Amino acid sequence: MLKKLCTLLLLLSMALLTGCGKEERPKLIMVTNAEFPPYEYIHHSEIDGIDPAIIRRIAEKLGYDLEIHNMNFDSVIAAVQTGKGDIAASGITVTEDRKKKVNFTLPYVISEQVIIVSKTSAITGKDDLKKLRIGVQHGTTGDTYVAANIREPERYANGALAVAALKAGKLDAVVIDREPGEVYVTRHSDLKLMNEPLTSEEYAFAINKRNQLLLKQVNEQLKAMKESGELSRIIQHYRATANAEAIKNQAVHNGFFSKFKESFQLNFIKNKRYMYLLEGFGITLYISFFAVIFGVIIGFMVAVIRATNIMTGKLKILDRLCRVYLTVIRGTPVVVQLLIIYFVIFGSVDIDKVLVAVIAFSINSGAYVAEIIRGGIMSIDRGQMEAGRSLGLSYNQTMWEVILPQALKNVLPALGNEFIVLLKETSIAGYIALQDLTKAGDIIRSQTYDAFMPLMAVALIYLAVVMLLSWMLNRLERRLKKNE
Amino acid sequence: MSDIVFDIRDLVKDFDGLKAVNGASTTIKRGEAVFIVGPSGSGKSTFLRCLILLETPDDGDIIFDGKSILDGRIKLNKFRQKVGMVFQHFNLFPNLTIRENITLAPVKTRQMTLTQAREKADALLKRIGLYEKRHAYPAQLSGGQKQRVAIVRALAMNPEVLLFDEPTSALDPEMVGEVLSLMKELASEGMTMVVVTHEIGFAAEVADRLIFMDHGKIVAEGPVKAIMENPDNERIKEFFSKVL
Repeated sequence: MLKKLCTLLLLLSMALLTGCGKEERPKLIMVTNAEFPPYEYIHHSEIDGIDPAIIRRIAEKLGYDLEIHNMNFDSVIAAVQTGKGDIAASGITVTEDRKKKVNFTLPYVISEQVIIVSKTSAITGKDDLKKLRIGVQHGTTGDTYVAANIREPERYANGALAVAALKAGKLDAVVIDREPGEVYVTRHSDLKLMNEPLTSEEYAFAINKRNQLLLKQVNEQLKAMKESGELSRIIQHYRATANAEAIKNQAVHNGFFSKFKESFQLNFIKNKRYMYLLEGFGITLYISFFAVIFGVIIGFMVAVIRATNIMTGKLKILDRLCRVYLTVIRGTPVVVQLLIIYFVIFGSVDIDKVLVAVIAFSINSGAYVAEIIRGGIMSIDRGQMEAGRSLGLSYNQTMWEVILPQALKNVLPALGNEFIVLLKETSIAGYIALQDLTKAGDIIRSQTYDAFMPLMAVALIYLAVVMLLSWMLNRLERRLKKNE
Repeated sequence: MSDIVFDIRDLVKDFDGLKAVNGASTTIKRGEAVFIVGPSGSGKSTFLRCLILLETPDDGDIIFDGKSILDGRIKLNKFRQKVGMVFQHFNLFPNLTIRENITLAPVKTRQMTLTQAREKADALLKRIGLYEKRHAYPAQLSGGQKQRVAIVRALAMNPEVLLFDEPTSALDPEMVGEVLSLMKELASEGMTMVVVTHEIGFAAEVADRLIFMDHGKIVAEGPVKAIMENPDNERIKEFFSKVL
């Protein structure tokens, strides 16, 4: 009876917290980095793997509606901390540092960090690693352990990239969790796994420190699943699937063209993987398009304010504000701005990530557009303003009818260049877990363990768009030139 | 309307300690063609630019149609609609066609509808023989043509007075004639004009009155002949001996 009452209270409080109570079931947001098979990966556009399977089962039992958000691994803990997600399930190793930021559930798996080396490598054990180039996935325990105990590692965005670097001879060893490590050596016959593990560790789910209730619930369910054997069944199932997949994908080396064709099949055709590229391309275009429009609007206003202040001495306060804006935006990297806008400014707001990206890139681009347009305005001979004013036109009328049309025409090449830069800069959208074109390449790579093909495809798509854009801008420029 | 268009009293314009105009006083009467001459740097262009407030005087007063334009109570844009200015470098708007250059101000200041403004522009362009060029852009015209368009652009606003700031200085010699003959026409029609120029011969021919400026001051003024033939000042003598 008491237990029932507790559950009821809990559901009620959850409903209040999410703010959309009524008859709907409360929402549980799981955050993960779906590039870590077999723990989490994208399969037919769905996030699947050991972690999603366990959390799905727990959410079901507790009566939550599960929502899974995919993001970079180095963001998942922060997401739980800032309340962007309720539970982080991403093959997270329990460490002292992380314990300071979040609460961990009971461990659901004991994993080991292992060393992958080339088959021909002379390395025999971890003592040999000291002077060698070691690759890790950024933000993983392997990263922390190697950095603390061996030497500074080379940090890659995901395991597949580190393995690709090892194969390319850029690294001597890769330190990675045992399960994905086993998948990689099965897939790549020229790699081997060192028997002796580097270190062993526990995986657990991370929950916000304030959410004691959820922690208690998840722990109860985990305990029950452990006792019933359900937990190990889930883990075994996914490990077996991953191994079977890896064996299926094993490359048959048969000359360049058949290898190319096989790789093409695997990376783009199989499981409709080209859909990632298409969808990612759509998101890249969407963000770029709206960021260009809003960036131009912002830049236009700032430029006119700044130029007016310089030419007439008016609008002092607005000019100050504009200068602060320009200094801050042009003085910090766009990726930092994106992360601040997502995690700090909209930290406690449930907001569409695409919108966040559009806002961040608009604000960023606006600063550059502003200076380009201001330069254009200042480059117009002051006789033009004098002629307009001497005819009795107001400052605004002269600006609008005479100065700006000439200024815009003069800066068109520079503006076009800014649009091209912006299009390519959106490739960092993956930092806030948007699946843009670049991220699409990452996802394919994490599934196929192949670095070359997805990267080439992504590069070619960007290149094609930029070439098309340049061509269109050239035509526009030539058409405007006709008037002279 | 009074007889006096501009009454200029002790005008001073100070550029960071350099007094470009230093206590100049004169009056411009309606229908009069006044020419201002003097050595380079004598302040004649600055003086002229003060009359349409492209430069803000630092001291003195300018009375236009009986009202001060420096007491901060006039409507600047309305005032400027009554005063036309022709620049040394024409300052046509390169982004607009010839006819648009002329119709822009009358339409935007709501003096005329677009149709009225176009009719007026076409008439003015026919008068200067450039009607066929009405849809061309300024870059397609010669210097002389540009300056004539600039003059009719100012005329389209029906100004009470036209100011010319060295209107032929940027022209090739063979194009000076066409601009001067248009100016002469306007003067003979009774247009009030204040002209800063180096064309002494032209000034002698057209001016009702000559003003000689040096070091920001009006050194002499009066009928052309009187000043040119009987200069009572060494500087004036020296100047005319050089330019004639």
